[in-house]
Amino acid sequence: MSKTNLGRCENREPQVREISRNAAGFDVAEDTLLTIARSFFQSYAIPESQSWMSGYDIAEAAFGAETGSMIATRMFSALRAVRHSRRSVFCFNSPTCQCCAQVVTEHERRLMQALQSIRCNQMGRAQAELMMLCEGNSVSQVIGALVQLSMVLPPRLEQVEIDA
Amino acid sequence: MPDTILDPHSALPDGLVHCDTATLCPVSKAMLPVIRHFLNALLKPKTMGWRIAQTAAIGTWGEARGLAIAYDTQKFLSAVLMCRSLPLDFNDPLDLGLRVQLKGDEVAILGLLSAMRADETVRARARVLYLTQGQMRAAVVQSALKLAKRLDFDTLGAGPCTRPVLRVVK
Repeated sequence: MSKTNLGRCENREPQVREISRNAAGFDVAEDTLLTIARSFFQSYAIPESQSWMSGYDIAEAAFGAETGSMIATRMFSALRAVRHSRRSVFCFNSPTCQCCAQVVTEHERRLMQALQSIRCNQMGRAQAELMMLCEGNSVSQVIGALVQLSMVLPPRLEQVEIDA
Repeated sequence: MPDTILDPHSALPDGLVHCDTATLCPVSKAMLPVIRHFLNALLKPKTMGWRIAQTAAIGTWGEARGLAIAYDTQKFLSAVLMCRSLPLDFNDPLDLGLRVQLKGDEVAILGLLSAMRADETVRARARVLYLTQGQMRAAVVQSALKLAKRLDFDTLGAGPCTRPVLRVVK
């Protein structure tokens, strides 16, 4: 499902279709969720890393014991839905490399922008991002999972204008 | 409700104890598959058994509390494994033949949680020492106490009903 550029990160700059994390317009919750998602991706790519444990630790620290576990689990459900819908690999950056973690890949960007859009009640935009992410396959399960996730997230305080 | 069979030293020579589910309290019975799937995940990462462990916990305690219990279980088991030179011995949770039996280490884990929930310090200390191969590690005690406290919040729906039965009075 996923691949990363572990070990090749010297002075990494955003490549084509990638963006800098600082410029992505994530709020605190979304920024944390990106790291949690990357931990789960890493668990799929390198099972021995046991990165899923870091994902839950981060969620607990950021959102509290019960809510944190719920948020991490619902994020994982959304990733599973993406995994079932997409055919190609999902490119992600390592959550543990300070340099790589500052760059958001195209696939990560589309996923997070879909979540942003759902939190801002922009369902059409979310659907468009997910259709691109899932290569034209059905996205109904992904949208359902992201809606479930957004229901346990703190409310987003500001609306965002998302560049396509 | 204390368990009656949970003595790791009573394990049979091959490390197996026949588990009569009637002698396990409902909480221990519910915790057993969660513990086994997490041990599967921690010791055999490719199984990704943590997902099944969480599903089992959610099925028993609901989403919020089940996931919190699952998280605390994982932290407790990780702490135990960190201070051991040998992995914990457990039965494959997906093996229909083996899952009705308990290994000595499983008995000790359930016994520790049972003792902590019952506030039986001596029994709890013996099981901590058994599980950690003689080391009294703060991380193990703290994580076990946290899990036991969360389990002790209430009993399971599957447990015996202690509330008075309501009757219609004419």
